[in-house]
Amino acid sequence: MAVAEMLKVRLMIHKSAMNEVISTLQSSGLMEVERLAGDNIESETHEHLDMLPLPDNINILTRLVSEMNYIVNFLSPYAVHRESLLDRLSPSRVPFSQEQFKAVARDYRHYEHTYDELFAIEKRMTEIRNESARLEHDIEELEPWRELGIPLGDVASTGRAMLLMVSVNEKRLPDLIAELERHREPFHIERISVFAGRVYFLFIAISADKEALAIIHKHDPVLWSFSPGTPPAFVKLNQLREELNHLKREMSEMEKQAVAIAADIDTYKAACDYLRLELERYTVLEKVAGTESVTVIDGWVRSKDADELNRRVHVVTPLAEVTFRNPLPGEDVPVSLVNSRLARPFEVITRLYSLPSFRELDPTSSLAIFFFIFFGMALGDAGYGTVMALLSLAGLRFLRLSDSGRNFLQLLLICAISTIIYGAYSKAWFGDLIFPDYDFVGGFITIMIVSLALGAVHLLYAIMVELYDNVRHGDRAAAILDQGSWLLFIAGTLLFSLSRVLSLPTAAAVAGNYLFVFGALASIYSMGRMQKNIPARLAVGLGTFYMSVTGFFGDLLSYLRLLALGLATGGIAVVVNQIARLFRDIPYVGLLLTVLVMVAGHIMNMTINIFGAFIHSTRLQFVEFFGKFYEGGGREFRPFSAETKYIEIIDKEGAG
Amino acid sequence: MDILGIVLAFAGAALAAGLAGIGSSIGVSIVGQVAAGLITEEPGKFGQTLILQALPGTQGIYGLLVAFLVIFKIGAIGTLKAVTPGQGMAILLACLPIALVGLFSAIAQGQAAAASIGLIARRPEELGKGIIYPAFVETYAVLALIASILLLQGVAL
Amino acid sequence: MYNDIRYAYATGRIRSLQKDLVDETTVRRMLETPDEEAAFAVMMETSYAAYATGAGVSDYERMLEAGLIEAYRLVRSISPDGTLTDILLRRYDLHNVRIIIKAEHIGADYKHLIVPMGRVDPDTIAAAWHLRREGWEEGSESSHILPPASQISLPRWLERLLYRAALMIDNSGDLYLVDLMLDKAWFRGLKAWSKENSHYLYAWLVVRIDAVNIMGMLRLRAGGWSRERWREIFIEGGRVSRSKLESLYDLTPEQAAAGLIDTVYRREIEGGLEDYRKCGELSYMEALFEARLLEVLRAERYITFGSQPLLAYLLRKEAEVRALRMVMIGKLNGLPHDIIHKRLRAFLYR
Repeated sequence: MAVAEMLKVRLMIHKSAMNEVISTLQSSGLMEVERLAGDNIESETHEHLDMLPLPDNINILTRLVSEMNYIVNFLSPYAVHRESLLDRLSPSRVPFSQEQFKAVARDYRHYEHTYDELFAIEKRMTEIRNESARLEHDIEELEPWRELGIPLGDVASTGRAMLLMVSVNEKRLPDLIAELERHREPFHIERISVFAGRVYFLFIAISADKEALAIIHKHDPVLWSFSPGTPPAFVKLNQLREELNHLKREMSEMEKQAVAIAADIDTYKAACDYLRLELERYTVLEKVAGTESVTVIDGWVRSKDADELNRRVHVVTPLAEVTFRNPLPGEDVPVSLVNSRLARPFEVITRLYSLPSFRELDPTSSLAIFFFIFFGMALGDAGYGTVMALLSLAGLRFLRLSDSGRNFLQLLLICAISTIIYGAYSKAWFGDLIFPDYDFVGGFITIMIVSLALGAVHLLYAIMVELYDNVRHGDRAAAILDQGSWLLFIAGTLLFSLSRVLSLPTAAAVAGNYLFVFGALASIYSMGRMQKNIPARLAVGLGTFYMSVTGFFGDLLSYLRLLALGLATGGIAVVVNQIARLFRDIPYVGLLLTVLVMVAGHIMNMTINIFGAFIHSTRLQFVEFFGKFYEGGGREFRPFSAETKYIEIIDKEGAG
Repeated sequence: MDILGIVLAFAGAALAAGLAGIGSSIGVSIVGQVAAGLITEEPGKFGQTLILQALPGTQGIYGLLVAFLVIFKIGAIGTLKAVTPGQGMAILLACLPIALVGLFSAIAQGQAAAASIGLIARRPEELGKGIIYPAFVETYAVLALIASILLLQGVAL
Repeated sequence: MYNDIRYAYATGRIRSLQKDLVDETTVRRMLETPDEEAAFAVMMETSYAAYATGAGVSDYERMLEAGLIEAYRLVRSISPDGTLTDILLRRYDLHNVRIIIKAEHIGADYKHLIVPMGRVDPDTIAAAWHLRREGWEEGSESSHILPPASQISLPRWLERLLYRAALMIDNSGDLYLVDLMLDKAWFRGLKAWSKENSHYLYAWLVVRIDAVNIMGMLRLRAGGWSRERWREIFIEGGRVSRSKLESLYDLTPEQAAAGLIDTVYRREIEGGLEDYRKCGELSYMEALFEARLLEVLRAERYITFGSQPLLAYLLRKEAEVRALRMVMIGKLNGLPHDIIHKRLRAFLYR
């Protein structure tokens, strides 16, 4: 249960060794570099330091990195090997040897050509998409005119006759005709088709008849015009379709090109990583200051790594001075967690919530034991536990994993063990598959009591952690008044109610009564103590006390989810077996069907319930447990390092 | 054999599995749609959104569980037991908590989870909190499940 | 229910895209650069870099436009309701109509003023305009106006506007009236649509209309225009009524401001007028109103899914393009830092 001790470190090195030292810092990955704050430096060294000017090529590098990112992002959908589900959950990286990596990186200038090529491809694809959309729109518009046999280009007004292609809402056509008839000028309407509630027609009238035109405009028309020489609609439609197909072919051509380029995606990924590391090295320079001859680098290091850092720097150059000091109060110290091997996987849970701040307790080891028990109860089937254990072992053995992925699988393994223990105890192996006398509702009341008892222990533990935390910060009064009196009250309540159910020694029952009363009074007093006058104290104290009591029992009920989840797993598992057995008597294929149904059913049930057990065990930590004392909000310690995103260097240089 | 008792018990089982299942499917679908939108832009968040999408699915399972408890109780797989109308009605009523709470809480949880997708779109590091908000909603389904099971236990056949 | 399930997918996507909107820090950094080259370099770090062709600073306007076009294209492709983007894009169609009509009147080349963002191809609008104006009068000879191999039909709302514009020009020949008619047509279309489809957009539009009305009044007054002229440009639908503004028309700016203090725009009017007194222009008030409009958009945050995030994304994108353009223009013309800063207020203090 610990947040690692940190030391503030300052490197003062001769300028000539700067680049080498920075490279060493990157490859060792021990130190987080922090930007030197101006005032801070001057007061300490009595010498004016300037931020170092950045080299010009940082801009080029930035551009190159963004180009490589573009290449990789653009190509990934076209890369031939599809990523598996597992890959997506924890992406495995492409293995590269140090030598290959450097070779690829040396050639990066060539990749600019690829960038231009891809850029052109994407541009053309966008054009094709837009053009296709336009064609589709035109086709849609023209479709209603298909039956009009004459060339569309010939539909035009002549000197004397007005000839228009019009559509109006079908319902408005009678009105339109009626109005035109009232207008008493000759006209003709030639209906072509009705499409989506609009009627399409040719309108013929005398050219000079402006009034007819105005009448048409009153009815919300759409008018069509075509350039001379446009063929009949059906011919034109075929032309448009032909063009569209042509574009589609070109599109698939473009896609083929992209796929071809994507064959080399690993190379681009490597180049991208290489350039990013370079860029990172340069951006460190932004945080460094120096005089003519000395360069100063500030940062943080774990206390245990201090000597190693010192040694590594001195290996590179003798002209270096490395000083360490403890963090000052109020300083923003990065956080790195230190836990025993067994508790480390549970850091995943802590991180999921938020890292502790530097001066806070690391809750990982306290939550570990509870999470372990909760998960086992919530899943509660030894068969599923075994499958989970085997899968996570296989994953740990065969997958290339990042640290966090490894931790996660280890966590699953530990949880699987808990599940096996609990399941074996309650005889649940894939429901009632192995022990036909397994009764998933049988232990209902017992499990309910166990869930609630576990909840009570968890909640009491949280209060004690809170108490410890208050003591650690020197706030004894709060520790005794807030948590102390509350603990007395709860202990009293438990004794009091247990004495009603079980036969406890009389002394315990009496003690329980007194504790109950005294604890309640003390709690009411302490909860109201911030108020000024007596009535306010009483009111606030009583109010808060009431809220706390109901809150506590609400929290307690929440642990019933352990029971519910366990029941759900067991119940569905039993049902899967029952249904599967129904198939057993079918001749010939009976056995096969039974096995198939069982496998499918159990896989489904297991997946859903592993999810559920994980989420709800987590929730009990976050809401019921953390809610009492934990704030989080720490900043992760991120040492400046040579961490790659897409590829993995398989033969990393050893220490030194 | 009294048919009415059996019918009422069947209705209870059907409601428990049916309503809670409807709720879950709506809830899961809501989250799925929002998630699909996010994944179009950021395929890397698939794992995170999957967790959120699974959340409103549990109500359906609770409903199914209660349905099976009823089925076992009245011996619907195998030989039917005699169920009086009164007992049948009691079974039906016992199924209602998970049926109704399952239906509404799954939809509500789906909405909360969909909002959490919006949260991880912007702050992927806050997944933990994004899971907690919808998980709160589920508490009530859990309580309803317990209530249903306790009530069912109380019906003596 | 506040939430519209049809928008679930689209909202999920927009939530992710929102991250790429240019933030305050970036604009500030652009502002603090010494020259346009450096400002452009910062712009190359934003999502607009995707549209660069390597031509450098001179490319910025095209990049901004391309970014905006892409945003609209994307939203249109994911929105279950296509009218949502179309209604906003009408503004660009109307802009093009205006340019085409004016160009015809003056007989000048207009191609460079056309914004290729509307829903209707500007060439189609131009061809249709000429056809409608001349074609029917003189008969078939004029179909040479049509570009070769083209097919023309306009959406109904545009057909109607062109017809009305043609009538107006025939009757009075006053292009200014056509301008007004087109302006109002946009507001009217948006108002009708949002009343039906989106209270969220309607709330935004009300503020927008008020801003146009209030600043229109101050501008026209300063230009010595008559009250009657002002009455013509007034747009219905804002929160500040016509009679209220009209009663203030003849007063001094201070008195007018005092009369408007009890409206919800106190902050914009007080701040804007103070600056107006100092340097005689309304650009600061405009910026304040812009800030106010962006503020109205914020309600979108509490929506799990619906059309609101989509609308907010587009309107913010527009504001962002305006801000970036302002910085670039400022830098290109060597405007002092604080002048650009003032105009960017909407962006810098939200």
